[in-house]
Amino acid sequence: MGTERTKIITHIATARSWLAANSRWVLILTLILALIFPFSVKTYILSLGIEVLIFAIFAMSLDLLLGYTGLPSLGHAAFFGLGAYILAYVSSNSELALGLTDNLLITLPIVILGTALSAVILGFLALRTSGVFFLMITLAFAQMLFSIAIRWSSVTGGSDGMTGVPRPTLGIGTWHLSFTDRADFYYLVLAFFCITWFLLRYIVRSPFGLALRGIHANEQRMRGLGYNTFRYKFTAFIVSGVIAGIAGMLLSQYFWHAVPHNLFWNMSGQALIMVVVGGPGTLTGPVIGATLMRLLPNFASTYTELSETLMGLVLILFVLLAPGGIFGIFHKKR
Amino acid sequence: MPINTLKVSRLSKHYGGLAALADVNLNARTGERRAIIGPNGAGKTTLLNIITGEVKPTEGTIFLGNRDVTSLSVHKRVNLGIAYTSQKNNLFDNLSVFENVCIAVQQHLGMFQHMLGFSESVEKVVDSALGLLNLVGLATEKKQLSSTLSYGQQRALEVALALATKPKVLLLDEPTAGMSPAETEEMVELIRNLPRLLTLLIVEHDMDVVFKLADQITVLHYGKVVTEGTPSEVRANSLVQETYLGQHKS
Repeated sequence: MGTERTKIITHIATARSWLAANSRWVLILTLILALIFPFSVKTYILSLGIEVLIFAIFAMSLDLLLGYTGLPSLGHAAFFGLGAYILAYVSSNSELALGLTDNLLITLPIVILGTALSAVILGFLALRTSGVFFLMITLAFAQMLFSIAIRWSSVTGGSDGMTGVPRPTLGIGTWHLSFTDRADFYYLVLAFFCITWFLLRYIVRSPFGLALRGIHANEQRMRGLGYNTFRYKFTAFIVSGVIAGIAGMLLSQYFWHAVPHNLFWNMSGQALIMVVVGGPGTLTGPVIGATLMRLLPNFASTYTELSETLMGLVLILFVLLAPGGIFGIFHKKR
Repeated sequence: MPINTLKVSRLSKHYGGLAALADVNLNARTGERRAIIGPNGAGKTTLLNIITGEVKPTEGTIFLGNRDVTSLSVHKRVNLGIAYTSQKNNLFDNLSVFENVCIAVQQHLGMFQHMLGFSESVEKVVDSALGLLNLVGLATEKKQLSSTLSYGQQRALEVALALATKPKVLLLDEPTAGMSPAETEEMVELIRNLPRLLTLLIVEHDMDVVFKLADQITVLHYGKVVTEGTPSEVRANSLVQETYLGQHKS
């Protein structure tokens, strides 16, 4: 028993140092695999891949708040769902929507603006609180949007949501790209994923990111050093909300509809679990968490009816045994 | 003529019926090193907390130079030049020693520079962070997590953080509390060698430290200023001897 344990620890240590030494190659290999992915798998697996990437974007956006700034939002689905609904309202061909265009050059800025504006409003209110109160305000905001989506059916389509959302196009003048095909859409999502990953990595490694980690560690001391911590949290909140909105936009384009479930607290909870299981404050961790949380139920449900229970068990184990998440096991900080 | 860098005027703080501070006046000139002494509960820490802005006074005003800062928030006062190290170590535990100092040094750049992170200004931050770590003798520990430092080293890091904000007035709340004699000696040396233009306000229990560092002493007792003056004047004061130095008149 004792020697087994030492063996495992040595294996993990070897894996850690190997990963640390070869992180660049791991990155390049992952990217190549991601690029050839659509050619090598069945449609069903490709669909899962798209879902995983979208949820990875969503989880990374939450990581900026939870893992780096230490803000436990339980209402992140508000921005995810808003992104989905705004996109649907602008581009869907159902009679509820405007049906203006499916061109990303127009729809993306609208989604960004819309989610940024709601993040400004919610952030302004919620960031005056902290801890459990912050959690409750964000939760309440998302649930409020959820009930609006359900009740105000003349605008939102009620519990059926807004259907007829087209896959996006990208075009200026005569130059035109369409992402209707599943594989093409996969590459679009992959592009969004990569941009998000590099952008967030840049942010968390910048002096701004250091300030966010300082706020996480000791906000009162940050004020004592002359920081206006509200401004930093506010900015992080808006960036995080916009990225979550983009993830929601992609989801509605992928499934051809925006539904109230996108705004439901269960969605916020899933994102939270992805971050916690994957490893908060690491960016890559939440990507692993998103992969696990989207794939595990799919495979588990073929063997057992209790996939949700299984997920609960996984979460409990991680919180108790590996608070640094999966990423924390294989990646030693300093 | 030296200007009054920090001026506290008719300051009072009541908690319910209890007066923690009553009508306190204090003038610290540029470059002055003033110790505030007094028994436990005399209101020393309350006074410092009011000067930093952590606690709001019931009455009275605080001037930094000619500027009334009484109604300003903590971070605005820091930006005007009031820095503070608290009684307990209050660092960023999950960050390295170097990152701790960088956070403090980079602050003045402002949020947009932090986001855009121009390499030139980042280099300057790194340079002055390393300079401060040298000053407080923590250069070799820069990669460690701050939580792994010894108590005395953490106190020194606290001072580095406070200095990083380029203060005009530095408030030190019991800088040598809980330190070994050797650590105390190092801390006294560190404080003694600070720039002469920096105004210091030191709350301290260790009388040796006080007499080594201070050129002016204010004695607080039950929230009131009992006496103030040079170390020799204060030492000679019979009331101080009785109530604080514990040397009863025989």
